[in-house]
Amino acid sequence: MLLATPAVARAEAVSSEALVRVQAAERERIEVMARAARSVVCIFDEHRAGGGSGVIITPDGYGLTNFHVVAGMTGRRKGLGGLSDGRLYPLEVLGIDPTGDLAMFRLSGRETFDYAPLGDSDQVRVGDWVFAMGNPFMLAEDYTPTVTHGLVSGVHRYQFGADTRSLVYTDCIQVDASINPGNSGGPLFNMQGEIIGINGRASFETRGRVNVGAGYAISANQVKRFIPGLRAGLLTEHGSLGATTIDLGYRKVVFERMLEPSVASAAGIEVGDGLVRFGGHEIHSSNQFANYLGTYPAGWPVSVEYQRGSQRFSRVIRLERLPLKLPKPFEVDERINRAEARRVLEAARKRLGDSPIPGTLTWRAVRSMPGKLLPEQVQVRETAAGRGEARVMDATGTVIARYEYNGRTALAGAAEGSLTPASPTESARLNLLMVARQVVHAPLTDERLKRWRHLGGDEYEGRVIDLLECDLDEGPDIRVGIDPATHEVVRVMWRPVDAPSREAPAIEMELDDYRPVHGIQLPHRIRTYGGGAPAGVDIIQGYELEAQP
Amino acid sequence: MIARTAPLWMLALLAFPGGGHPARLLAAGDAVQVSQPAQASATPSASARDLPAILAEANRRVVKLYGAGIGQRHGYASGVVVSRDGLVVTVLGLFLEATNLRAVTADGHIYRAEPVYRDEYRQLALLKLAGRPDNVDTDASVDEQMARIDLDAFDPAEGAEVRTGDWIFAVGNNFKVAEGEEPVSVLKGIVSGRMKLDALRGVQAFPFRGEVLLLDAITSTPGAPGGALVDLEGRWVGLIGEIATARQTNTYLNYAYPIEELRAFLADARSGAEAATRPASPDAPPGYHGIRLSRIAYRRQLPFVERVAPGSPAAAAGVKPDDLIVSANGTAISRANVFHELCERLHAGEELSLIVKRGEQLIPIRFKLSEPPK
Repeated sequence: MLLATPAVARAEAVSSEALVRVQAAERERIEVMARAARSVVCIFDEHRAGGGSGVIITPDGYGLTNFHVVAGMTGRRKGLGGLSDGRLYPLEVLGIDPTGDLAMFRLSGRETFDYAPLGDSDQVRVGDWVFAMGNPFMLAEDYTPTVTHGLVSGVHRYQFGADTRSLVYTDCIQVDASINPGNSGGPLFNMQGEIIGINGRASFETRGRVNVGAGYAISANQVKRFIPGLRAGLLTEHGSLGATTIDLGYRKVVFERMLEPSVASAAGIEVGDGLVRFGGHEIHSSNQFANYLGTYPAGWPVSVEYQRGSQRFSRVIRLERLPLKLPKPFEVDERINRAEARRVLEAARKRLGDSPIPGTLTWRAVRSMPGKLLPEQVQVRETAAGRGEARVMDATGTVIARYEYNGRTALAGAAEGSLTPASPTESARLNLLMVARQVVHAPLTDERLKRWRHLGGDEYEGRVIDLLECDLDEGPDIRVGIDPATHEVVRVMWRPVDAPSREAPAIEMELDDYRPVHGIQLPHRIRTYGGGAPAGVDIIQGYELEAQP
Repeated sequence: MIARTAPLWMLALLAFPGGGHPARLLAAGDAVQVSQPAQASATPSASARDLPAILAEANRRVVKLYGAGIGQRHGYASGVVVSRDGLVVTVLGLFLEATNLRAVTADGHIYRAEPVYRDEYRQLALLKLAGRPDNVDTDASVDEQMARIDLDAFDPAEGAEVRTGDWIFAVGNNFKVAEGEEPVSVLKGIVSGRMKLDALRGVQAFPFRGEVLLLDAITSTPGAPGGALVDLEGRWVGLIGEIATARQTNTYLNYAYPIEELRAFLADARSGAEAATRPASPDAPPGYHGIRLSRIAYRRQLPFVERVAPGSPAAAAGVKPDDLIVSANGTAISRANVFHELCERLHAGEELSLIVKRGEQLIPIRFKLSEPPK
């Protein structure tokens, strides 16, 4: 049998060494496929009608599919999932992404589920071998998935949607593995058994709805950005710069129109500026820009490099919402959202320490700011819960400014004299840490949990993190970003994150270098950004505890 | 922002709507089971370079072609670059009739393309790309902008022959999924067999009677024709043929011209194109073929053969009265005058390569011109 294969047909004689290699490769492939098959789901509605595919990505039964597979189930959120063990399991629809044609579900009825890991789709190259799994033509009565093997035919493909706002496939992977009706929502695997995409479409023309050698999968890296929101049961939306571009000559992309207000204009972009890079990718055409843009959820921080004359600017811009129209409204289930918020917060509390400090903290920091030659010394003292004061000293130790935070607003002034309202950056800098400390370290009672909402995903140092919002008693609502890998609070944001302007830029802080202080973990480096540009770094020299009187 | 428009068929989603019975869809579908030779049981691996690198190189040697389209006939195709100075082989198709035929190279530059040779029998065409991209990079120096065309190209001499069962990769712009500098699509497959086609292109009989490579990759799709076929080592082994259906079964045929046929085509094209553009020499007498065309005074004199002189080169080669001359040395013969002007430039000893239409068949006829009879 082996000798008849084309790959070895040319050889005069097949060496036993080569034969052993081929057999080993074959065995490995069979094992990978057998393992992958156990994570694949046949999806039906609660009346066992319809049909599509899905894949489980966590041991507790969370799975991915296409939005168009579960679009008819979003009312009652109920469906059925068949696994390769031949059994049907109850399926609950969680969040949806109608623009990107994604949805998340959760299977129940078993302690643990077999699942498949998500791979890095940016590493996928044309010519890589892949296999798709699913239930094309609903062939599997026992829910054992069909495997089709093929080649990556193209990467970074763009496939139009029903309109610009729904079922758009951006930056997708094109394969020649057969993708047929029923494959929708099923996984595309690399030969290591990692999910590199979610199959959802094919190029069909006049041949009927069967494979014609071009199937498309939503790339795993796009999927990853939407997973936190989908897990939290949200209607996830896609992002926009609020500006459009036009191609002016070879590889020259220029901003053509701009909404006012928009995140692009808030970041200082003007009509006529050239778009150089977006999300780390060099941009050669407007189509390419649209292609990458479509992979980001609303609110996502994306690095944008633009050019005016010979000057280049680099900004991190949080995308605004691309308005979405749905045929029927999707109501967020608070129960699903709160459960996800609790899961993330409890993991963070466990990591950072869940015993509140019986007292107030004082810390000293060295602050470096862009444009200032010498660092300043900062001393911050909590005076009560959520309240504090700070002194800023120059290199000689002379006090040059002082601040007060009363729980709602910050006041600033010179060493002597009266205080006036502080700049947003200063006020945020002063109280962020205090707020974060209280928010995260305070016990998570049901009452407190009601103040929290899971907002979906965010990005920190190239990793996808969870973003939550807390409605505080005092002061404006804050948002915290929690890294699922370390469970540390790595980002704190103030409103107006949603609608920044040049006058009121969004203030964000990144916290890292966590070390134990009095039994809890506290960050020792704080980087501040105003309007997407660096506004200073605080290196914390030490925390001191003042016992409560 | 997005300059492309999407016909409705492109939005082909793959879930079954609730309530529909999947088995019915399958039964009613036009799916055709094509029998395939034994597939390799192991993933093929290339010897020296890895497959992505090989396919990236092939992509650099394929162009996207955009021309005229009417109704169901697509206005786009692929082409294979066969010389660094911009000669491109592609299939003969309606898209070539555009007044502004364009070729987009792998680096995203747009060139004007001019058909220089058409082979009605093989259904192939040779294009020449204009020496300067239309959209000039304004940041580039004048020297750079005016630079002579220099493309990555396949060397036909280095192409390889493939046999039934060999792995092949089809590199073309299927469904024009790729735009600008985006790489074209790659499909994998094997050579299912070598055979002569009994096929239709649209409603016309497929004239080529030589052997083609039958493939199990789905290449009979819009945009793929004219693309390159390469083997596991990245060698040029074939050119994807125009969309065609089998006469008997009405199923789409996935096929490619083998490298030998492409070499023969290129040899014909070079001599044909050279002869066609050569100025008539007043000193040497024109070569003699022995064909007299019909002189019935239509508004446009059609190139019907009225008489073939007995014992003449044309008679010996099998040209018959009532044959309609479709092309000569790669030039489409639309009127009798075009044929006469072309033949005036040819001398004794040179070749005349005709495609004639006899009944419903296109027949290639080739012969050497002789000295005129005394």
